[in-house]
Amino acid sequence: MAAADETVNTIPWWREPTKDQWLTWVAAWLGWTLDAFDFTIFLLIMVPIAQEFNVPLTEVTAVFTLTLWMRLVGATASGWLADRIGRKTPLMISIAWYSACNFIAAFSPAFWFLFLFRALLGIGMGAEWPVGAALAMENWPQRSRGLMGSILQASWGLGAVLSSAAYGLLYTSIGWRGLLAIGVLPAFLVLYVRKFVHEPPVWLENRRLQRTQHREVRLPLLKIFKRNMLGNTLTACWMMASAFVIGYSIGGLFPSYLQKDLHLSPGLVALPVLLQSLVFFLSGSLWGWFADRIGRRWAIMLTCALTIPVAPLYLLTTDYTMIVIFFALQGLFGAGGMHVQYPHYLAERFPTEVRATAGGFVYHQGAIFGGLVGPGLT
Amino acid sequence: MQLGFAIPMLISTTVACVSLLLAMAISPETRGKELVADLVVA
Repeated sequence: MAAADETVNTIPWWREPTKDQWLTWVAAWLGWTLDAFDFTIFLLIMVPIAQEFNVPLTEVTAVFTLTLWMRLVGATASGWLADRIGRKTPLMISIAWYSACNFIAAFSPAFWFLFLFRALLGIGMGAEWPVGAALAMENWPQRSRGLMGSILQASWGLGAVLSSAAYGLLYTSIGWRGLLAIGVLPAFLVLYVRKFVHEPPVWLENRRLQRTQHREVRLPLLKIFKRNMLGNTLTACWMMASAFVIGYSIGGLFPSYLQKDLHLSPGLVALPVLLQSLVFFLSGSLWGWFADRIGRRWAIMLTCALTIPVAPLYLLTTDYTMIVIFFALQGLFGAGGMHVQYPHYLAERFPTEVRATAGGFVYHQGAIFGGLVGPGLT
Repeated sequence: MQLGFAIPMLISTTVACVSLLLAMAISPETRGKELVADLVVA
């Protein structure tokens, strides 16, 4: 065993996974990145939507909040499906779902229609994360799981970079409706998943054991609240609730703050958001590397502690340069780097028979609390 | 200074950071854990 470990450690980490493991990780990565694009584009167009439908900004932030809350419904449902029938099918359904909803929302004739389809979009968005995370982490070798889980999660930043770029470059020509309509493009990813992704061997073996030993877990959501799992579940929920509040306190209303309070143009609003998202994306490799060395807990705690002194540096000034520099820097900490550990940390905290359900529920119940930030602060 | 949203955003960020640090203080470390097929809660 020691000899085998030594052999593995002599090859570079990126050559350790097989081609199938890489293809599976890429599927989860694309699903999450494009999920981020469809979600974050809305943050940039809340003000023009409020103006077009002549509704207060608070009502538009309520759309955002409801989308976040519906993610819990989608995550729990897809997690249950993924634990019962496998990770692949729920992943395809979720991607097709959020793409279609964003596209339909682009043609909203009234505010209630937009409200409805953005809420439905939340189900598909929530459904993607637990399935993609379980699929990618169960497939990936242990040695570099922290790194690749972090890059996977940090790709939310890449999706946000794409949405910021789309906003900065296309908003004046295609408007908010056009920006929502291009959110249909991720649907093509379903074809890739169908062709290249296979179920993780660890899940297949777990299902076989459940069947042959007649110990099937039919309601995994209830299992994570049993006595032997309760403490683990509750502390994980507490962690995610706090994390979502941090994330949305930093970024949820920031574009609206720049637009309404500082009266900045679309290009000036997009720049710090884009840079922060870029830093978030790049920080995935850094903090993932740290997590594989100093541990997941310390990586989260260190980035969380560093969030506090950075926040006033861009919030207590009206100097645009300061705002851009320090808001971007926050991408290393509470707006980005702190959040990259969740795919592997949650996957490692829960056993295979409940992993997708637990990950989905724990992660997205946090979104309930994150969703309260927008209405609470406006 | 026109900082309407800024102060609430700052307070909310700080309070949530403290909350997360407390949660992590009583959470387990998982580095090096193998994901196995064994039945644990079934």
